[in-house]
Amino acid sequence: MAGSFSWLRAPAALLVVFAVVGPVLDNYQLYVLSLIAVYVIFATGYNLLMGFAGQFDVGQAAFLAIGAYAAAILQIHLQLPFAVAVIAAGVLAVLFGLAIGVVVLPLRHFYLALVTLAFGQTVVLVLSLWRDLTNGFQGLPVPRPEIPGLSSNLAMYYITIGTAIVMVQAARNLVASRIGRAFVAIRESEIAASVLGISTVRYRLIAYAISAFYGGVAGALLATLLSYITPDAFRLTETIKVLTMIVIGGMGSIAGSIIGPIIVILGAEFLRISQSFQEITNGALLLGFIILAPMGIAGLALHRTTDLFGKVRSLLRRQ
Amino acid sequence: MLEIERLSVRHGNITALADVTLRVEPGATVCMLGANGAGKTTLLNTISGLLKAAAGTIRFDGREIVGARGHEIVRLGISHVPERRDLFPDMSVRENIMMGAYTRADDEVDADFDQVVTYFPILKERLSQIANTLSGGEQQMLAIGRALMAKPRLLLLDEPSLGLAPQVLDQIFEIIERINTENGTTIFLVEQNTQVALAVSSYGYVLETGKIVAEDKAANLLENDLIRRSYLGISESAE
Amino acid sequence: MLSQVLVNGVVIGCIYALIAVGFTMIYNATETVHFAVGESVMIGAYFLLTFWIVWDLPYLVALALTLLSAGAFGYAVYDRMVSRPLMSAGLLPRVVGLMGMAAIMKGLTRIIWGADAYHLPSALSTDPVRIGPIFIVPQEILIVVVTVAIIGLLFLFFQHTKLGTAMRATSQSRRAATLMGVNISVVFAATWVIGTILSAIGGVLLGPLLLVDPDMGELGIKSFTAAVLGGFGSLPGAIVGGILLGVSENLVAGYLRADWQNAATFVLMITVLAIRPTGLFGKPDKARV
Repeated sequence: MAGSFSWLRAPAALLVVFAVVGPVLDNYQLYVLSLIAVYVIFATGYNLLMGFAGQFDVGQAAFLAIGAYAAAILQIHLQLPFAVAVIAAGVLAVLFGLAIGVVVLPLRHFYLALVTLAFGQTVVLVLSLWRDLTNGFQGLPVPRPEIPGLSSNLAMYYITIGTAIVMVQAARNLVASRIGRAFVAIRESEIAASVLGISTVRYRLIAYAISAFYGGVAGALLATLLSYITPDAFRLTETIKVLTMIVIGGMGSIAGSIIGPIIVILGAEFLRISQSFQEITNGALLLGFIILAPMGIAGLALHRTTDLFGKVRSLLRRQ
Repeated sequence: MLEIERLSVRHGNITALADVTLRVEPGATVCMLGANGAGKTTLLNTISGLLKAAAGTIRFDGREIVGARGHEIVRLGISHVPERRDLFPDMSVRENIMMGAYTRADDEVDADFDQVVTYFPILKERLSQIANTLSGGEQQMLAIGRALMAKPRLLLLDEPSLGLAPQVLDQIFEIIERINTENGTTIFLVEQNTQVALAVSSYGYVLETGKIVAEDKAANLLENDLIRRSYLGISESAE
Repeated sequence: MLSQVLVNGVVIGCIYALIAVGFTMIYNATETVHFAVGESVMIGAYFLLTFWIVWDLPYLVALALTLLSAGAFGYAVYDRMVSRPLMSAGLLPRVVGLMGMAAIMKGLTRIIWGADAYHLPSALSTDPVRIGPIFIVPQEILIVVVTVAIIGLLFLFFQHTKLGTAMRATSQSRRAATLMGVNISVVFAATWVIGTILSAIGGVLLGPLLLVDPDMGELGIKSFTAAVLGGFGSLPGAIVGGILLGVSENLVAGYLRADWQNAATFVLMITVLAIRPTGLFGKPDKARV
């Protein structure tokens, strides 16, 4: 029995380390770590859909937006407790994820990208026009949960890190399960997968639902962490940011979904660069990695880095 | 005219052609026989620059052409009628034929156009028809006619017999012979249909899983019992 | 009212059609879904703004410079930096690469021109002229004339020039075109150049109708929608799709609510793909990609 629970040890140890370290960190460090945790959740869900199940989605920020606004509105208007609001945000996102999943079922490749792009922009448009509920472009304040004995920032740190560790572990288990193998089979070839008796309809919907749940929960936590949300924060730029994270981390790799957010967020914080420079560096990283190392850092670690140098050389020759 | 030495081609980790060596003399018609997947199309695609060679040399008129790009090789005088015709499906018959003269800027293009439609009178009746509405035989004629427009000295034909009814097949191979005798165009053709191919060829090679396993004068290949049974018999029984 | 809405819709639809034609040309020749097409529109508007307003050059000189720069940009940036290195990598990596390039362009625009929105003046008078029950401004007449002229020129180019024929041949079969002696790299480069110039013209024409700002590229989705409406890969489809989209938008704005105008784009795109992914003119086999 002990053996079957051995996977619990590493995440449990991580939880202990983060718990112990928490109180000695300053507010800024707590904020940055919380932000990374939120994006690790978001990126993990996105990677399950894109990297594992091979569904090309460019409207992922919509789930983040739905989660963020659901959490804010449920707490403000219905006075729901924080934990309930976060879970409800995740569930609401799942409903939207399933709806999109159904719409794109007969479609492949870039048609998925087009539908999800339109979906992402529709969500931003609705959020900015439905002023009674969302306060439009003015945005909404989001309450922070109060945990007795903990500062608000430390509480957020524990909540986000704890959730991230649990959800990443859940994703690792999922990937190793029958569902995870079905995702990969569908990504490699839907025809082959269906020949093997894998229901592509069911597993594509599962992939959308799960990644939407991760996006919704991440959105709820992000809104709470930032304390204030506007529709503008969930435009295509946000999807490109998380796309950059999973591409440089490694598509189809859970480790990559952790590495990517760390690099992108720490990079932005350390360099203290403006929004525009962040956009440029994210774009450049995205373009650079997709050309030189399409499997990301996780892929480079698996294969030899000489591949990369060979690729650079052949590119230079061709130019 | 065409000299290939120890040519190897790989598709990823799979060796598609290994150590292929062959010669095509000027003015000759030579065929490469072999079953599906033997590497015949790979060989033609490598000659015409669509695929990269892993090792070996291909010389055309004594000049090394390995490494030249596809669009440059046509200009040297090699025209390739590709597998499954590969016409421009939404262009008319006339446009398809004229695409064959893409590399040319001389004023004999019109005369050559007339010659092509003389070879294939049926195309003349269908000049403004869209290519993908043609029958299989007409498409093959169009593909050959299109390749002739480049005024090739060497014509590469990839399975011209594919999917053709017997009468059409005879008609096309008769034209292939005429192209060789009347224009003096050298022809290198790859085929599964041994009988027809050897009938128009002076020399033949047999390719099996990327290697040349036999070569001889066409007449000898036809009479060689072992070859007939091992390699050529397959296509006879398949007919 | 209706005829006025239709006229406005056709006018803006003409611009969408131009952008969608460039987008479709690029898709047909290079099998690349140009996810940065909106940013090409944006740089067209910013180039004209710079040459005409900031540098104070005469309009026609500024326009010529804008189109030249857009063409050079199409070659140097899209063709050489994104399309070529990713040509053998497949369609999705090219889309990702273009999204990265779009982000770079957006960020650079914010740094170079600032985050503020500019208003690009019209080349012609904006005083409406009355034709029967319809008011139309000379600028709008110019838009329709320019669109018809460009589409006519493109038609002649495709039918009667060597490069145009090579471009058509390449989009029908890359392998066969190569065997005919067509240098595919040249065709790709030319396609990016022409496609980017068409988008830039779109930006030049849209500039006076909208605000010019770094997020202007988001209207790239309109050209995707136009292409989807007409059937992906069909040039006549792109033209009809663009005009249909322009008209639908104006119907929504005129009869429902003005700020729902953009929703028309998204709803149309999602509905068409959900119900008839092949659009109006698409071929069933191509749509199943």
